Amino acid sequence: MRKYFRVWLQLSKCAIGSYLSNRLDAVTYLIGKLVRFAFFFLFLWTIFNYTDRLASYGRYEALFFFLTFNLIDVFAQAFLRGSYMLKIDIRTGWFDHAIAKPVNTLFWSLARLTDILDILFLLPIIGLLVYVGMKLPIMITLANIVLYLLLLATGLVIVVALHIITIALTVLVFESENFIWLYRESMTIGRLPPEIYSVGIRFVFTYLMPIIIIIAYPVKALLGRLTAIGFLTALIFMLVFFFGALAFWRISLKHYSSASS
Amino acid sequence: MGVIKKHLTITKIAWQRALTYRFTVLAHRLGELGEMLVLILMWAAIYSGGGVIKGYSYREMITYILLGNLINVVVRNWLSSVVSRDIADGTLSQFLVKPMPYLRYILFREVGRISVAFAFSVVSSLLVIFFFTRYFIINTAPLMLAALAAIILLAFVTELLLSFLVGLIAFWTTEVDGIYATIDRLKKFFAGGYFPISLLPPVFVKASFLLPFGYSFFVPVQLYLGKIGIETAALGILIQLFWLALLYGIIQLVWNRGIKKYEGVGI
Repeated sequence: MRKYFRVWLQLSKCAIGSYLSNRLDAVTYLIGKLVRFAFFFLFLWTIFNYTDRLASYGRYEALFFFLTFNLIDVFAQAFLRGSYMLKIDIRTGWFDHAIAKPVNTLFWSLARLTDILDILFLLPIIGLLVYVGMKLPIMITLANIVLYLLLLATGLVIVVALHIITIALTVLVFESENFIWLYRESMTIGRLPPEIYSVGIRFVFTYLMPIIIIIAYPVKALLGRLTAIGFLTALIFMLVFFFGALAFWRISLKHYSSASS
Repeated sequence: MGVIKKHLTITKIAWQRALTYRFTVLAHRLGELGEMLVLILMWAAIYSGGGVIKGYSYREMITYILLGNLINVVVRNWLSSVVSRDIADGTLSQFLVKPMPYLRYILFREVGRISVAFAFSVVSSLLVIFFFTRYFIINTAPLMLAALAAIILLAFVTELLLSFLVGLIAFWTTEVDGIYATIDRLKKFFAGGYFPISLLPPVFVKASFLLPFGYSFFVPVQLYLGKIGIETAALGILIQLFWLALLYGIIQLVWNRGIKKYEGVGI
């Protein structure tokens, strides 16, 4: 574990060096992310000038969904950015080197690039989460917070599993890099409370592509709206997705043909 | 005749190249449609109690999203990244010795390049509109449609020139991706792509009319929904023509300065 942390730290230092050598790009990218985030925040804020509730949720509750979505989405982009590079690695033959390295290939493929800008972006998101959390119109207990953090961790494990599935697909079917973008676009479903969607859409994004479990369940737990069955469902999904994804990754590696080397 | 054929050949080659990446285009498009549907469902939830929000009925809001997105996919392009790449990797050099101005060549190529995404986007947008026919407001007033077509056509050309101009930043720095991303988001906001600008204080609406961005989303839909009249639309067209002339002038100025700085690195 310590060895992997040191490897990750070294890779992150390299990433910082890369960003520092492209300072203008890094700063403007960060501004771009903040601008998009600010506009959607403003959008949600403005909507509540014209309505009291959005599918039974008030302003700060809806904002908490949006901020939790950003927390998970940006966290994944910050630490799992390597998965976006895999297609290039396979095309150029670099993936052969990754397999030959004395580190776990899956770890390397997911974490070989740390997005420092996204780590910086996490700071205002966490700050706003605390601020909006304090404005919530309900009494938040320690148990609510623990449940929120627990389900957040559960959601993040499912996100890691989804990234593993997408890179396994890239190894198996080279032209499948778009799966990562389908995942990214699907995540936007979680920006808003799930109750605005129809039952059919909620079913798809709970049980087939578990975006609602990843984002909405932690928030509902914090707001005291998640049932015990919901909690158990999240745990089961986490285990099924994580171990299923690992098994799928092993299968994909066995089928890797090293065609570009 | 030969001149037209020559230009159309450039467009055709770019179209054929773009076809290679149809799955990529489709995947991105599915994502965009998903985002649009999320917006529609959100507004459906807000309007579930009925009523009018800042002058918009539920049907008008749905029409705003559907038609605005359709117009937006018609006028958009990704020319800035092509121009900056040509400058950064030295590809521009080969165009400097060709008997055709780079601007003209790249505009025709871009039309071919975006045509696959354009076709996917328009067809998928029309399918979504068809799905929401019950809520989509139909307006077939001939004068309005003529003005709408003029605004969209001018917005298309304005967007091309704007993208070209932004791409020229690469003469001064190769670190352009972040700048483009930021500009795109600002454009989308002032175009009313996130939500109708009229939900914000009136100064934003005025800014949207005076800047060129609103003409690729907000202004044409306002016209279609009858929230602005033909006179205002005509004034808008004049503003668009002013921007076209201004952008063309700025492009000439920036190009002449940039080309002096150009070193052809990467040839």
